[in-house]
Formats: sequence, C-alpha cells, structure tokens
Amino acid sequence: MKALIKTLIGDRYNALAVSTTITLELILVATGHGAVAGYAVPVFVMAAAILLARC
Amino acid sequence: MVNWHIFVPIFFTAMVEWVEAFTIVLAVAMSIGWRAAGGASVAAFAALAILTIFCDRFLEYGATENWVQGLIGVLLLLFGLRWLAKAIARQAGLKAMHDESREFAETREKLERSDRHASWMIAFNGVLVEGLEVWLIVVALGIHDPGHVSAYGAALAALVVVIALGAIAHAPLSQIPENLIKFGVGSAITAFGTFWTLTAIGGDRIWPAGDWSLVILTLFYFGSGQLIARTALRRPREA
Repeated sequence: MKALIKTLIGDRYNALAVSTTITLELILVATGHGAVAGYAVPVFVMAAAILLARC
Repeated sequence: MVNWHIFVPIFFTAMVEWVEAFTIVLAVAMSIGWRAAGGASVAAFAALAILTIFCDRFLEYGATENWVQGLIGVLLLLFGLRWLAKAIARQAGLKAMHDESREFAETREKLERSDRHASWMIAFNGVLVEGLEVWLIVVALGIHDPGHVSAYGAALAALVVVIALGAIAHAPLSQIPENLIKFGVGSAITAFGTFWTLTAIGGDRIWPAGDWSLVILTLFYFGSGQLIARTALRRPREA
C-alpha cells in the first residue's frame, strides 16, 4: 500500500508542488482571473519542475 | 445502413481523441515497451466496455467528464512533474544519466520497476479518459442513431486508422536517446495534467488556444526545460 501511494504521489515535494498548482488554479478561477490562469499555471508548473530537479 | 451525417463528425472527433490517447501510449511504450503499454490500453478498453454497458443511462455527461478529467489530470500532473524534473536534472548533470555506470544500472532497475507501475497507470488512464470522451461523443452525437451503430462504427473506424498511422510512425522514434524520450514523455504528461486539471476547474474555454493549448503546453515544457537544463542548471559531468 505504501509503495502504491509512493508510486502514485511520489515524494512530499512532488505532492506539495501539485497541490499548490491545483490551489493556484482554484484561486485564479474563483477570483475571476481564469483568463490569466491559462498563462500563469504553466509557468508555475515549469518553475516547480525546476525546483524539484534541484532537490 | 450507415448514417453518414452521424458517422463523419464522430469519425473526425473520435480521431482527435484517439490520437491523444495513442500519443500517451506511444510515449509510455518507449519507456516500458509495447507489450506493457498495449496491455494497459487493452485493460482501459475493457474498463470502457464495462462502463459503456453498465453506465450508459446513469451518467450525467458534463459532471462526469469534469470529475474524471480533474482526477486523472491530478494523477498525470503527479507523474509528469516527477518525470520532467528528473529529465531536467539528468540533462543538467545534476543526476547521473541512466547508462553511466553499473551501480546506477542496478538503481535504475529498481527505479524502473516502480516507474513501470506508474507508466502502466499513465497508459491506462490516458486511454480511459480519452476513450471516455469518445464514448460521450458517441452518446451525445449519436442520440438519433438507433443502436448507435453508425456512432460506434465511426469511433472504431477512427481508432483503427489512428493505430495504423501510429504503427508506421513509431519506428523512427526508437532512435532517439533515452533521456530525450523521458523529457518528451514528462513534458507531454505534464501538459495533459495541466490541461485537464484547469479544464475541469475552469471549463473548456479557459485555454486561450483551445485544444491546441495541449500542443503549445507540451512544446513549452519541453523547450523551456531543455533551455534551463542546458544553461542555468548546467553542471559539468565527471569524466
């Protein structure tokens, strides 16, 4: 079970990056900034990938 | 008798969805082989068949599609981000390349065993979510087609065409270096994850370029990842 969770989620940094991305998406859409989300979210995801690469 | 007014639009719409599914399976097959990726696809089709048989009348289209897209989008983001980060780290020299030493080869074997499960799940989820979209298209557009014969026929014909075209195109891809493939896989999966999660939250119209945003996102992750790995993060490799 632990191995399955690790396979699905990865480490804590990965889980944090994805949950922050989803939170950002929710905030942008909920505050009416959906038009910005299409540009801001990919940039945020790329920044997260770079930070994860350095971990 | 084929109803062409139903067959033609479903054929082309389904083809787009099958191409997306095939792209995921193709990318995964480059990592874990065709047999495993094919097995995941067959399993997804079996799940779709069960879904079609038992849930045809019970599911509400929009809510279900959003829910599934969102859930699978999160899973793809979890996988994709990990893969993309690893590929960037390898490209930049922050992490050993896969074939650099025997010690690393042993680690790789262990890692790939866990990656194999993740890869299998990606192929399964990809085919399932795209197949689900095809099914929804079939049900929605084929509503006036008795027994959905033309509608399901169009979806199956589109699938056969995409597989045939993919079989011709996949051979040249086997010449590409492993880390570059993983870079591509990570970029594509992250793109699908980003696309589906934001679509599930904000709706279809949230992406500036519509469905083309998937291609743009993949190119953005691949291009910017390569650029950053080769410049800002670059570390000299040991001799």
